[in-house]
Amino acid sequence: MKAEMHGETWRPWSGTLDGQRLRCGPIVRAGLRIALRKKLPLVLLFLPPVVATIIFSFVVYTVAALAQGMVPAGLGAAGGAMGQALGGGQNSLAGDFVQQLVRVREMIVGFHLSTDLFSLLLMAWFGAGLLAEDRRSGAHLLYFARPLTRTDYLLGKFSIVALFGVLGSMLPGLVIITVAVAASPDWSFLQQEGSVIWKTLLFGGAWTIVVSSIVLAVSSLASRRSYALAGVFAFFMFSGAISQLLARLLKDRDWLALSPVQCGIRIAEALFDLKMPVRDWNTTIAWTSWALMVGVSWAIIVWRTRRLEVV
Amino acid sequence: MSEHLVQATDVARFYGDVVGVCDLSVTIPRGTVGLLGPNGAGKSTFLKLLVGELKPSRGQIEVLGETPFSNPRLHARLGFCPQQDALWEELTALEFVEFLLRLSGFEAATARSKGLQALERVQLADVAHRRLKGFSKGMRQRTRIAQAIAHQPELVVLDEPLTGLDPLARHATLELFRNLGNEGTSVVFSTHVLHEVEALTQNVVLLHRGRLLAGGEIAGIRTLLDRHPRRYTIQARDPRLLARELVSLDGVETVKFSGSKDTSVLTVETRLPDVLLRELPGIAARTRAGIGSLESRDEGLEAVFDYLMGGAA
Repeated sequence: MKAEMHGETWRPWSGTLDGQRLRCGPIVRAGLRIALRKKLPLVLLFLPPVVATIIFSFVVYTVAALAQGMVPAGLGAAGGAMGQALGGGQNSLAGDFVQQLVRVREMIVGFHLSTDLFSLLLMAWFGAGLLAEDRRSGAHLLYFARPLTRTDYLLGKFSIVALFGVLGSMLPGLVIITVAVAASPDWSFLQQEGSVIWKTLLFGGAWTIVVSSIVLAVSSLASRRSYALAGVFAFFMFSGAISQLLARLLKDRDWLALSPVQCGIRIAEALFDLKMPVRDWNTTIAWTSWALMVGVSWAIIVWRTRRLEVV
Repeated sequence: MSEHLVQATDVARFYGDVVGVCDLSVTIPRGTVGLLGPNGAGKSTFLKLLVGELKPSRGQIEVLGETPFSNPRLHARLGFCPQQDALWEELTALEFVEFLLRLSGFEAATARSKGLQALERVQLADVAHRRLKGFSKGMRQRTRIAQAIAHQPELVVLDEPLTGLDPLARHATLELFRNLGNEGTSVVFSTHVLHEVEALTQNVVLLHRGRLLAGGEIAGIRTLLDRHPRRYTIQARDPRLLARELVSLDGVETVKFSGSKDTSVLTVETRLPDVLLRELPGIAARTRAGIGSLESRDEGLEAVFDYLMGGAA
């Protein structure tokens, strides 16, 4: 080839590139924008936790108010009945105030565990397509033709799933805690059970990291969003069933560590110091199992995104 | 600053047992270059190697003087339009271009204005706020082109950019490439539409089965193909008189008649086209054969392509 056959003038690129900047922000923003445009899944997946949070907030407020010997405004005679139902009359509640705070804490943990299942649905629904659809449509070609590193890309995708996890898992718990704190006299809940805040953050954060990692790993293995979604649910259901089966057959409850959900329940029981531990197996094994699941998931994600170049 | 756009030395890329490109050594100067080849020739692989989406299995490739694979500094200088229909359906055209500009490191306001400008250049400004899921194939293609040119890169790499475009859009897109060239942007694009390549550039790279068949100016490549005689078609009132004279010329290999009663066409194949073109006016005057037209049928890219593909098959 001869360079002189071109009439064009050569215009050297004269831009500047901020090489240090993390570029995962635009990925997160675009990912959320895309997710928020589909209204029906948002309503279906967010409505139950929102309703549950409102109802639970009211219950927690009622318990805290009854513990002080008050009937919450607007509850009237029903307040007395509720007080009875929650463990005794107003007098006995007032007399055993600390006990009631423990009950509030246990209610919060129970609520937390139930909303975690919703957060699993949220993360699976909004995260399943993140890598699978990029692979299917070839969108990674657009990403990696930009000054974007693989770390930026994965961090962006992970942040999207994790954000839905936080919304579904941590946020409702924090709302309930806030209600409990506000309803208890003289910040007594904060003083007596204040550790539940950081425990909620720790547990919610760990749960979000575990589930987000598993969802992304399955997504990186799947060629379509629907396959990834089915894969995520299959993983959680089969791991739960197999862990229960092995634990019963081999009469060793440590096998429950094969299931991320069972690990979560065991960790929550230990972390929040619940009085009714029915899963008396080793908590260290549960934490180790979670750590291993995250490690294996990220090994798969990194391996699969390295393979994204071969399409 | 590198003098060449692309310098590939013994580049090979394999997908397991499948050969993407093999032992490819080519130097591409700055400017507009067409990458040609049948399906499976290795065009897309070569373009992905250029933009650093793929790492060569062996050999070296340099684009604008830099190694492209995992090189964010180089990625800021080039724009890539892949063949795949990789669009986020729920975003609007502007949001799509803006998002990719943000990934390139532009601030929100700059990304927005550059996004709008790019959509204007591909004539999609009026639908910039419409969601991509309602776009036709041609509009989607133009959106992809817009994101490739929006950050005013030094090099634009386009994989089959004319696919799916109607004739008007094709014309406008070719005009856009021409303008980009005039502005000093280098353009490398792959296509099957040979005459459109010729309209845009004389500089081509031909690939077949992952190997380089030829590279350079179309006319130059044709000259190198001297095992194929040049073919000329001559329309004449009395072609037989003409044929009698032409067969005795040096280099002429075959003379064929075709056409109707009134206008006969003479097809002449010669290895010495200079001799034919020099002698033809004299012969025409002598024989009074009444030459209506003279055309060369195999000077063009299509003929070159056919010859090369035939030879490579």
